[in-house]
Amino acid sequence: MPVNLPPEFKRMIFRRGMPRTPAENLQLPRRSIFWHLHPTRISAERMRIRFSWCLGGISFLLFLVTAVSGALLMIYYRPVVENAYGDILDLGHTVVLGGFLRNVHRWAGHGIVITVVLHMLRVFYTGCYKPPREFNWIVGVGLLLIVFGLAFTGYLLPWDQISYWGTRIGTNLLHAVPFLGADGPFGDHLGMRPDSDVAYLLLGDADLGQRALIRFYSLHVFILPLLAAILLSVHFWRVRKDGKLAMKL
Amino acid sequence: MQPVYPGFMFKEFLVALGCLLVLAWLGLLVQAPLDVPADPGFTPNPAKAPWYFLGVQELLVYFDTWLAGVVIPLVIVAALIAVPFLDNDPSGAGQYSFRKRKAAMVPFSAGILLWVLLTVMAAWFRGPNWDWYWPWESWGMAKPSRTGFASLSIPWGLALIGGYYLGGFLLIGSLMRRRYASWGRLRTAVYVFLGLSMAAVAVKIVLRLVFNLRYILSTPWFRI
Repeated sequence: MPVNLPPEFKRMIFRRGMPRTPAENLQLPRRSIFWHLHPTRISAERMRIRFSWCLGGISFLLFLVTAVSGALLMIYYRPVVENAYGDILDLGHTVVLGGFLRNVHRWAGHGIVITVVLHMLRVFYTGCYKPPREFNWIVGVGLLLIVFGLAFTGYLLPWDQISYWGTRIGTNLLHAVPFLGADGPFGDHLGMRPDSDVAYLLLGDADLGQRALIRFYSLHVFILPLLAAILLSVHFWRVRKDGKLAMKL
Repeated sequence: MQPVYPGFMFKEFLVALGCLLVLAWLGLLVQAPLDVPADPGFTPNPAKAPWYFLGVQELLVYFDTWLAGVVIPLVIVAALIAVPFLDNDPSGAGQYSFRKRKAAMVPFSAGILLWVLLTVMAAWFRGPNWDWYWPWESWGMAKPSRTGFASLSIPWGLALIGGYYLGGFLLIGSLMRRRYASWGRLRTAVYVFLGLSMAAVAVKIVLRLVFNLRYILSTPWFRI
């Protein structure tokens, strides 16, 4: 359906409008910040789905889905031990489409872990970490860790038995860090106690409780997504810059 | 060479649409799990971590926590970061190729395989008390725990670990002598060390499962 905006508005918003000629097609990626992720040209080889399997792109799509569904979930969820579980129940029973929202957020989150790992495999098996892309591979490793961090911190938030004890297994590992954990080798000798070791830094307490919940929540909804957004920008920018995606590698 | 718009972008759009449809369908049909409220006083048996951490949890059977949960994951991350520096030979870049890049492909694939195996073992073959249960066995009656584990004495343990790394370095070093000339000392050493350490994890798993060996080296401060 054509929208009849006055031409000056149209130019203000879209600058040039949709491309109409082949020459304008070629210019499109340079015309809009959103299309700017793409190069202007790409080799037919690179375009084949059987080369990349779209895994990086799908990971990013799922990241956007979790960001949108997560923002909506934040409206209902309170990171308080007394309310957290009840709020999740409410999402399933009283909030319109609340259960759907939570399901989509969860499955997209699981999906990211799968697609990110497969993306890493694809990049490895096509040798796409070789010069000049070494740094982008390392950025990718950072993003992989952030994905695990997001998955781990989000896992605790429903505050049910599965999430509580699943998280306990993870935080027990932190108590066992050599030198810095209360249960780790030499931790004792260095005066590490459950209320002063490296796990305490994450939990804010000797055990999983209200302080841990609010820390996991702020990591999950703000700190880690912010880091992810920064690293993603670098990652995409470097794909364009050193990828020579348009050229034969 | 082709312009990215419209061909490539249209393809991307279709893939995105397909993914969103699958996701919406999943969200409508498959409910996200929700158990009873958290109870710090009651530990479920077995308590399993989310599936993507099950590999680490399975390693906890074979190694003490500091090793399985901290040192080994850190070494894996370090090894991933080191990948582009260990293998910077441009041949075979940008295409699926196995034969040209065996030195990179074999250890990486072995590591991934080991990780998948550990995850599968933990997900489907571990029951109450983290004992081994075949999928057709009932969890109703808990198995008696395995006993009779032995550990090596300190001199034997040191000899085994020292001999393993020394012999490994000599063996692999002599096999890749020509590569050593171009790779240099540090790169070869890191490559062989990482490979041997990964194999050592598999060796320890077999020693524990088959020979009931608990610790190779047990000192008063830490045990391996």
